[in-house]
Amino acid sequence: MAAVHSKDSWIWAGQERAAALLAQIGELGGKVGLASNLGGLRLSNPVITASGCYGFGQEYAPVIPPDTLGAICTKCVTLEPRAGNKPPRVVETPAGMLNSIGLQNPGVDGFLRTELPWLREHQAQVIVNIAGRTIAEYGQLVAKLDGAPGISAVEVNVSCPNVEREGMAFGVSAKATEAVMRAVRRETSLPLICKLTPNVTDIVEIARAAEEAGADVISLINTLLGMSIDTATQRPVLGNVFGGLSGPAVRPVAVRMVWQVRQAVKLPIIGMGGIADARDAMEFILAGASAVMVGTVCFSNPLAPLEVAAGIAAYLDQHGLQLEEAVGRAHQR
Amino acid sequence: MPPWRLCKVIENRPLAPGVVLLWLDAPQAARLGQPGQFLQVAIPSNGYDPLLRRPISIGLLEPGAGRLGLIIREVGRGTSILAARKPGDELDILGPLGAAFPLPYEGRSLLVGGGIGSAPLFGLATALVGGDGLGTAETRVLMLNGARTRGELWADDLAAELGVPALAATDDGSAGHHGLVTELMREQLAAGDVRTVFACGPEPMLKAVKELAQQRQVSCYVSLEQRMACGVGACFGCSWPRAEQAGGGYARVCRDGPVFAAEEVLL
Repeated sequence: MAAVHSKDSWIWAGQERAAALLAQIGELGGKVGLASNLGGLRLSNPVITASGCYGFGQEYAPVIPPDTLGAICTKCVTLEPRAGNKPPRVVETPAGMLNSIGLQNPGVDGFLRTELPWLREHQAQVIVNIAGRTIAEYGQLVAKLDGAPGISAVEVNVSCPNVEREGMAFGVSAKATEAVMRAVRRETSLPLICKLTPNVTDIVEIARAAEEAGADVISLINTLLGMSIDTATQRPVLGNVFGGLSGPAVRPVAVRMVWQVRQAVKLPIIGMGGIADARDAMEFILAGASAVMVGTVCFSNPLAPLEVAAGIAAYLDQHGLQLEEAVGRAHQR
Repeated sequence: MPPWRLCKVIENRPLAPGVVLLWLDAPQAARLGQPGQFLQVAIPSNGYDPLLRRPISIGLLEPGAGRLGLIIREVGRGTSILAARKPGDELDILGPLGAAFPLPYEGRSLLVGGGIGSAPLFGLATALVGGDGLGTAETRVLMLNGARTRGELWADDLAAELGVPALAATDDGSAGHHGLVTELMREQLAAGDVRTVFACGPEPMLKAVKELAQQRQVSCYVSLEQRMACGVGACFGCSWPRAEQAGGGYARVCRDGPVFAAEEVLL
């Protein structure tokens, strides 16, 4: 006798509201030009679920039909399966949270075998987030993904430790970022998104390196490195000691970095970091993002991706703007 | 943030210092919920602090009356805010979530709870007491509640009130057995008619419960607690190591659990 599973008995309260939000997106979407093409990645609306916050799409699918999202960006996929870090893996912080999941995933072969067919079947626009431990691994990963039907783009997570360089993250060095992006560019003609880490001195230098190396899109920001100590046990809370900070607490840092990258590179930008509602998303769009990713907010509010998309449409309609006219508008004098 | 589903607090009843029983008017959740499942409860705030929902096990279920009871211990800011909710206040709930206890239909069940770990066992206890299985309440179920001291032994009082056969253990001997709740469990297992053990409590207690059940070859289910973010299985935040023979790696407490067969998880 196993424990009794009725895994979807939580969805009852959300489906009606989801339908109303989808109707609003449908009604206003055409009028305000929500659909876009980002470096070859076609989106029906500018809201994408952020990597790591939406699994491989299955858990939330009973409330948000996967094909209604701009895209689903998958949990990070690595060459080999990974068990992930020692728990505890999450801890709440003021208006945010730290996580150290440790890239738990079934590996690229497992992803292609079990996760991708489901996403295809549900007609999701799929962005596969990947990470390697070496530059060669990034290349091998993309080679395996290239040609697999049902993948719209690859997001390259360069925030992982480089085992060939004493564990320093690729993304903190312009040179290493460029080397990773060149390695993946060689293997595919799929749109390539380079996801930048904010834990750097000069984000612009890294963004330029990604552009130089053939990235089609820049996404930012990944989490900010942080830690939390339990004053009762006098030990770090997270099993992994350090974790990535996300949630509304990081938003001003993210908006600033999108603004800077917009001024420095010509590539389309996907902005993210603490977006909780449509107003937050508009900050990123006005700073220069053509699309946004929502992540941590989904944990509190599973309907957030639809609420943000519907709210963006309402904002644009109210201001008489097309989406593309709003992108980067805050830079205009 | 827009709520998932608002429901009204009907009653806030203190059970012990820092422990309350919060009755919610939540007809759908009460109808869908099963003992062992939990709710993700949003912490009322003016902004995004506290940000995350808190996983709270369903303590008591009254589907007929459309209400359910959450037994909440104040362990931090979030749970303190929840424990201060008054009748008429609204709470935003997402659930029921997770795997429930399987209901045994024959033999005697031991329900072993430590501290606030007794909370999720009450739904099961009342279902077993009121069930249509063979025998009487006494032949079907016995609850064993452990606490540090008499003042924290709310579970024994609640069991008496609900007609759930129960024994208690306290660390300081101020009530019931002087010692560990697992010592009571050992005595009961020796009697021989126990078919299933259900347990929730601190990790060392669960480890001892699992070992005792294995020695006696009695089925054992544990309800685990872990820091959680999404509650639906998407974030992999609430992981718990899986036993090697169950495939190793990590299970998600929210989605694969919180109730696990004891042999499935590492304790």
